[in-house]
Amino acid sequence: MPNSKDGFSWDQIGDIALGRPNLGPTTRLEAYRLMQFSLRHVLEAEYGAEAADRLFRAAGRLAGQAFAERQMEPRGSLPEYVRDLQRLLREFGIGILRVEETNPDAGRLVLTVAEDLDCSGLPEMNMHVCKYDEGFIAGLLEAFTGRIYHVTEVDCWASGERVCRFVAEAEEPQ
Amino acid sequence: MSEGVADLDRAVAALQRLLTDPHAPEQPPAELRTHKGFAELYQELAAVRSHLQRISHGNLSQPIRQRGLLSGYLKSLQAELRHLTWQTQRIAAGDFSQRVEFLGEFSAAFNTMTEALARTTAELSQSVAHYRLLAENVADVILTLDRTGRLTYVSPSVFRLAGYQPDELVGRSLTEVTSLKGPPRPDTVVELQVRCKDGTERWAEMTTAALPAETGAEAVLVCVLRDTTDRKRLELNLEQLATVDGLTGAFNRRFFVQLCEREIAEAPRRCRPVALVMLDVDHFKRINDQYGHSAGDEVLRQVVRTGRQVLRAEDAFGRVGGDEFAVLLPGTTAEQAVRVAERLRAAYAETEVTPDAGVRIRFTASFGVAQWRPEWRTADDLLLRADRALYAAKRAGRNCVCTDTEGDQGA
Repeated sequence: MPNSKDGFSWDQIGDIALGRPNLGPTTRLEAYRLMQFSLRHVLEAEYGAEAADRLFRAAGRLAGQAFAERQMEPRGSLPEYVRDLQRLLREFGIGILRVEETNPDAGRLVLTVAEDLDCSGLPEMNMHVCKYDEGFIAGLLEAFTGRIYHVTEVDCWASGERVCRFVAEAEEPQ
Repeated sequence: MSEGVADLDRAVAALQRLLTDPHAPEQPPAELRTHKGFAELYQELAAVRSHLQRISHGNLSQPIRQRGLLSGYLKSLQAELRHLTWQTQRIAAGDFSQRVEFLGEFSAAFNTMTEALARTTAELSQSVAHYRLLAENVADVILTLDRTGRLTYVSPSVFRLAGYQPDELVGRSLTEVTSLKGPPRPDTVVELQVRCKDGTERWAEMTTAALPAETGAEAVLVCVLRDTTDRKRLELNLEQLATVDGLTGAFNRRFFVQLCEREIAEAPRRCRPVALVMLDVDHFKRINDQYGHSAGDEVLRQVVRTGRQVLRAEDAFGRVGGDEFAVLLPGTTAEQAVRVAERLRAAYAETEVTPDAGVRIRFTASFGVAQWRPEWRTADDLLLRADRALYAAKRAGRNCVCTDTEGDQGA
């Protein structure tokens, strides 16, 4: 396994074809959510909910950047980038991405993810749980635009909205 | 009926009104507000109803704060519609790669429409490119006009015709750069002059057709301009060859006689006299013998040049024989014509011709004047009378003016 001290990269996922010749690259969603929510439980218990959110967001950002670097072609326009992203998120079973609003000059986007990997189908918990998604989307947008993005989930399945809606806003250039 | 059942009936009625009456209040009836659960349920349903109403009217921007299954479905619907709006905006901007997914029959219909639109747009672009290629490479100038006669398109070939780039003409009126007085009429072919950028003018033939109204375009007329300058020049040359004497530039005999016929035909209607002066260079043979034929030719050319300086614009100068000329004087009596002939005579007597260096020729001319009379039949009669008067002048010693007197005797 690559040394994590060298920084996170896609390569740390390993050679799945070599390692799982029979089972292949997919797994049951329950296994993913078991890992995510058990980990979240432990982090919350150890460090508190706010810290857990921050850690999940940071991990998601790394993942989004690595995903963009490895899976996405360089694209000239945002609509092209969105089209590629929609296809990839569907192929990876991450979710169905829909864009509601784009304002490239202001660096603002509003988008929704249906059938979301993290939360669709969760029991109502009166909270927004897609912190990993927030970071993941921010990482994707940063890889495309080169600007720092802050992504906030404004609607979440887990808080009873049955749709995950995210508002992404770019930091003003320094 | 118990109190509890009556309350339930009121609650059911309130909910039914919420579902059926557009004017149902956002708050439950006062008597039911004390029941917290019912009041919350009522308010939740009222809010969902308001959102549904807004969405049904196309308002997709209102945030939906409520939670739960119904509100969740509404949010999903709102998200789908907002995404469709965004996709439609992308398509309007020319991004035909947009596809709708997971919306059942609508996805198929929308995607079929987008593919058809992409195909049609590509075909249209190809067609436009094809016709643009034709328009830009054809020698004729193609232009379109709006309702006010302003140019909306000019093909690049206008540079060859008039020296303009198309951009310099688009937006200007056709009348600014041609001899047209107003917008051309459809289904016409007109000859006009084009004012070129360098100040010169060229002749062109313009064919005009109406554009179909259903195109909805700004342009209503399409015109094709063909440069006819060379043809026009040839026509003018031919016309000149047919009417003008090549040596002197005066009208030739045939055309001069036609002019006389035209004038004497119109003279009665206009109630005005017509006179004719015949003139002949005195001793022209001597000039030819002494100085050569080219000097003689120069004298003949000088006769016309000097004559034009003396005569009016409407007078016609014709060469009717070797050294014989005739001047048609519309609106002139014999008496007035004599004065004109005297002025000519004096002018010629003072003229010096210098065909070669050191050669100076002076000459005189004799003149015969006649005035048209209605009893005469043709222009030849007028020419004949003036010719007789000319011979009288010759007999009288030359360099003088004689008038036709037979007409007076016959009158």
